Amino acid sequence: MILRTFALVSALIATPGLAATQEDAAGRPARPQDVEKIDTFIRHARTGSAVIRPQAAERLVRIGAPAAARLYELSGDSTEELALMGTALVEVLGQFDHPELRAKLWPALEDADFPWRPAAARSLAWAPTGDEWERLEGYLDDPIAPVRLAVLDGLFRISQFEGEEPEAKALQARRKRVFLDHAVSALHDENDMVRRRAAVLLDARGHGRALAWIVEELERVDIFFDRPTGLTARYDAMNVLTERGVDLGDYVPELPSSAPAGRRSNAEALARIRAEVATRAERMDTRLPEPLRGLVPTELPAIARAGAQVGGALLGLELKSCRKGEFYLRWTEDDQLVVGYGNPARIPLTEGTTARLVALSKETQAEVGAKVYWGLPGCDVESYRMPRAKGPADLPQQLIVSKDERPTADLRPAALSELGAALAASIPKDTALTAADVRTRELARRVRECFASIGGAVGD
Amino acid sequence: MFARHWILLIAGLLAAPSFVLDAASMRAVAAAAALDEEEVAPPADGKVVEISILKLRAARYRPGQPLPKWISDLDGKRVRIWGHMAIGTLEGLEAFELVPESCECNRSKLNHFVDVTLTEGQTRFIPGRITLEGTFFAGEKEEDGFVTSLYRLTTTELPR
Repeated sequence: MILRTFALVSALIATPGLAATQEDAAGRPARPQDVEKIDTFIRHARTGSAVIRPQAAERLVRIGAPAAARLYELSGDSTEELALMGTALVEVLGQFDHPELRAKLWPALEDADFPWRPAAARSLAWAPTGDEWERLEGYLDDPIAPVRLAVLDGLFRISQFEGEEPEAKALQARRKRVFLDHAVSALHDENDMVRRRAAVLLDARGHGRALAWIVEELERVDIFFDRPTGLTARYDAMNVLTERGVDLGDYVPELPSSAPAGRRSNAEALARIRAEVATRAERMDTRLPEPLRGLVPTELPAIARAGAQVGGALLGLELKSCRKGEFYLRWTEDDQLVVGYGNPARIPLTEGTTARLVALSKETQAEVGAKVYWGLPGCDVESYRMPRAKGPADLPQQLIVSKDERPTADLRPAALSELGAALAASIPKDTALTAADVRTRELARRVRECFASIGGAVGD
Repeated sequence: MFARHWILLIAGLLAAPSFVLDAASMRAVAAAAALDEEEVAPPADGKVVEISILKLRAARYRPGQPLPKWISDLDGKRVRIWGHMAIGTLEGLEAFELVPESCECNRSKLNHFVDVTLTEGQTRFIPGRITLEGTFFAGEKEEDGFVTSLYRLTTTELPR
């Protein structure tokens, strides 16, 4: 156990970006009396409040082998039984030095209907074994962004191993190289968190040019109705860059990137940060072996660029499913379907589509009356935004359906199902319109599947 | 399993010194500390301080360690803050969580929410962004050995 802990700590020192995400588990050691509380901690980790569950799970990790043995007893023989342990426990099972417990995580990740797949992926990625490389690679294109992110972390860790025998050394050299290709591909991921992590991991491998992806996020201004997605990204980018040693000087996330003379802005700070990151990247590039130089492109893909704010969005649909992924869709007054946030994709709609859907949304509001929420707290969420039928026009009405991991019958009211069906039906299926961008590819099918996994199927 | 530990150990030891001694890493620590010590202009008497829930979320928090000074300076101050009610907040309660996004997906981190107590009104679920004004308190609050909140706000009632 001491060796394992020391090994993990030293490996984490070498990867500060990863250490920052995992520090919560590195708390004080377990006390002898904690062993007597294993069942109490398990109960807290399963049924405590959302804020207590991860803390209780971390206590179990610190206890170590006795806690692992008890968790193994309780973990059952199927993924359905494992799911009953809850997300906080699944999240930490891979941190125990207990191969049988770890082996239960793979069927969970492989089960598309397992409710805690992101937690299972993070758990597996915590301390992966070399022979798990190919299995992890199989999830690089998973529909769930946190799974893709965890897989990158896991592959990064495996690629850090050093072989002793010539054959093992050669294998690890190949993996180091292949990992770089995977990370460069992930710089094009549709999800900003995955792109950000890929950039951090590439930077940790000496490819400082990847930090340009994160510097770009310092300029994001996008919003999704009342959600300041761009501002959130600016704060996240600021933290990541600071952890990577970039001096942000007087950059202030709340200020605009540029402004008329006399008004405060980030213009000067951004110019200096860009220059510093570029100089740093050039310096790092010279230390790389010749064949690896220039692996990270100099031009950011459109998906990673800070986009302009979307004007005229009248209807919004936000779908979040722990099994089918996330969708952020907007229907604009000039009949465009805007997909995603950041620098979103756009699909032209038939003229009059948005007006027809807005009219339907007003009927929906009349049907549901004052009620705005259906279901139980949980990760599976359908959120509909629409112009208010009554009341201030500048404040959209928001109707929310949510549930936890359990299937819930008759969750969504009929009127909202009708609106959901109409929204799904309005998504063009013409591949000439949708195939160009990863976010719009087979969008209609994927959105219907997501609806089905939350509040039930909509329409045909 | 034993071999894997050795591989990790060796990989870590080989790579660690370059980072431990890396000036950039040292600057990162210093810069992060500087961010944590950022000053918030103290309000004049009776004034309300606007605080950003995203800035609170982005603050570095280490269990058992002091909060950044700019946050502890807000303790006991009157503040205005926007956020969303945590999804599924029940009706008729005297407290709820204010979060940057309505869904935190069962991974409620301590610096990602403000525990709001209503002194007069009761909860009803309001979808979308709300802005609250009240007295802010910062610091770890423990129950049964677990930290249950870092940020708290006491206000009279929900907006109409």
